[in-house]
Amino acid sequence: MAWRGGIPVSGLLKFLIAVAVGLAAGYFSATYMASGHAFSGAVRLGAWTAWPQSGREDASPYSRLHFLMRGQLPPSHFNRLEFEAVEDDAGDPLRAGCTYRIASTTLPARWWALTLYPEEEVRRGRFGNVREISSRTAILARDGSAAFIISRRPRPGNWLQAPPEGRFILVFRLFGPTPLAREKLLSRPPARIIREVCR
Amino acid sequence: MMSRLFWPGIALLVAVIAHIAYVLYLPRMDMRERLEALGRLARPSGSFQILEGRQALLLTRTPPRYMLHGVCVIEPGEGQVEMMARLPGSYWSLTVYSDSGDVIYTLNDRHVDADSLTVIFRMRKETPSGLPEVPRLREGKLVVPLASKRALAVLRTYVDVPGLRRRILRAFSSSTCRALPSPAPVAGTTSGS
Repeated sequence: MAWRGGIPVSGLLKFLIAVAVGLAAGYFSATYMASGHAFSGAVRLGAWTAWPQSGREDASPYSRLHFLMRGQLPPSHFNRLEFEAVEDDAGDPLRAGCTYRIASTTLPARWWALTLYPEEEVRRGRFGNVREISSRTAILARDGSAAFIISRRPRPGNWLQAPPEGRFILVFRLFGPTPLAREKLLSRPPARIIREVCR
Repeated sequence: MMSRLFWPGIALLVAVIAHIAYVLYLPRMDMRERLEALGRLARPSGSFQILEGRQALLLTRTPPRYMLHGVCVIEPGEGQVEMMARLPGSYWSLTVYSDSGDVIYTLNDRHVDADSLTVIFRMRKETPSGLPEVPRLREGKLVVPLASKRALAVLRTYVDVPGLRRRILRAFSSSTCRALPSPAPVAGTTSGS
C-alpha cells in the first residue's frame, strides 16, 4: 500500500470520491425537489406548477428554495397565487419558434396577469423583454375566461409576442383570490397550453 | 460485505447532510444578501425605497411588467421602525418578510380603507401567557412584532394604466421609513434607580 504523510492514498482517494459524490447527490436531489416534484409541496395542474403554501412559516422548505433559487421572494399565499409553465399540455418545452393557443378558465381573482419571460434572460438576470397581459387589458369572454395567442408575428386578440429565439416561461399570477376561489383554482389548471404550429 | 458498503454509506451520509444544508441554509444566505443589497440601496435616503426597472430584480428575477415595488429594510434593534406608506387608490399589498424569507405579515387594500398606513415594527416581547405576540392596532398604527432582527417590508401596486403611474409614484415617494428612538425608560424601572 502506498503511503503519503501517514495517510493511505487509496483510502484518501475513496474518501474524496465519496464526499464529491455525496455533495453532488445532495445538490442535485435538492434542486430536483425544488423544481416541483412529488413531496416537495408543489401542485401540478396540467402544464402548470403552483406552490400553494409559499411564504408560510410552515411551508415546505423546498417551496422557499424554489423561489429563492429563481431569485424571487416567495409570494404570500394569502395575496397571490402563481402558476408557472415551462412546457405545453403535451409536455414539450415552450419554444419561441412555435405558436401556442392558451385557453384560460374563468379566473376567480380580483385581477390577474399572464407574463412571458424569455428563459435565457431570466437565467442571466436581465429584465426587458417581458410581455404581459392583465385582466384589465385582455379581451375577455362573457364568462370571464380568456384566450391568448403566443407567436412571433402579431395576431388579433390577446397576443403575447414570443421571443426571437430559445425557450420561454409563462407565469400566471392571480391577485387577491378569496379562500374559496383558491380552493377552486388549485383543483384544475388555470389554462390549457396548446401548441399549434412550429417553424 | 460491510466493508463494501462503507464508502457508499459515507457518500450517502454526505449527500443527506449536503441536501439538508442546501435546503435549509441557502435560502437564509440568499435572503441575507438580498437584505444587504436592499439596505445599501436605501441607505442614501435612509427611507422608503422605490424599486424601478432593474432594481426590481433584487426582489424577483421575474417581476411582473407593470408592478411597482417600494421597500423598507427593517432593523429595529432595541427600538422601533416606523413605516408610513401612502397608498394608491387601486390594488396594493404589503408583505413583510423575515430574514429567512418567510412571510411574517401581509395585508392588502381590502383590509385598509385609508389613503395611508402607518406600521410600527419592533422586536417581539415575552407575553405573560407565553404565547407569541400578534400584530395589533394601537392608536391608529399597526404594531407588528418581529421574531428576526432584520425584516423586509415590500409594498406592491400594479400600474398598467400609464396615466396613473406618475400619481402613484408621487404617493409612493412621500412614504417614509425611519428608526424611532427607543422609548425613554419609566422612572423607577432602571437598574440604577
